[in-house]
Amino acid sequence: MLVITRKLNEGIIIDEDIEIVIVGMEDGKVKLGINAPHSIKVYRKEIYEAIKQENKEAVQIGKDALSYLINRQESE
Amino acid sequence: LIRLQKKAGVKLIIETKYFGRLEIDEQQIIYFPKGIPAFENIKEYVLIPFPDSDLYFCLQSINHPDITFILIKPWAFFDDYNVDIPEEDLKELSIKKQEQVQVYNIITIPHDPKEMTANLMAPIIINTSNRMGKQIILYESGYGTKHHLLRKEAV
Repeated sequence: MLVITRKLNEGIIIDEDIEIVIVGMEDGKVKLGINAPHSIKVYRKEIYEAIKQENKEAVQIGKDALSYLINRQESE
Repeated sequence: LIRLQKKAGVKLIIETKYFGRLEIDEQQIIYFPKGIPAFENIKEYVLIPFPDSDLYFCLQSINHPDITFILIKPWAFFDDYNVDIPEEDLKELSIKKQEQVQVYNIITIPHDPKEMTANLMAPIIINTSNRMGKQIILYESGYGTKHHLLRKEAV
């Protein structure tokens, strides 16, 4: 991983059209300002991680749960 | 695009997690160009309805029998669910009109099946014209990854 030290109001440029600026620092939190084209998706990492985790859980479903669903819909 | 190039009528036998061996038509394959988060390398799936069901479906990998997601059509469970597909996702799937779009949500069933939940934050979007799919993320929707399916019906 590339590590770069930046001060307040300094930034970095990625691939010419993505700009990330340190806009604030306090209480152990860093506030980032991001300028990027619309086609670039910017996510908080934990949201993407939560979806990955949810997907991993979703494929763990056992056969018994499946019969539960089938029985359930019969009673609907 | 890849899907459109495939010929109709080519049959494949696939191994499924819940339904044993199934014969499918190549045209039924749904292609996820970026896979599904956590399963980025698995790109080809088929959608198999549960027997006698219009509520539940399996999104089954055609090459990995163990990889299957159980899906619901959200509006059967969540009347007021609102999906606003971001422009970039529409472009990525070449969606031009609403009639091409199918929306599903992945459900998770924990040890106690009554606690099963649907991921409303990240629906599965399928373009039925070119059979491309993607799990999109509705960042600013306020939806989470675990919405209970049964709570409403309880009592």
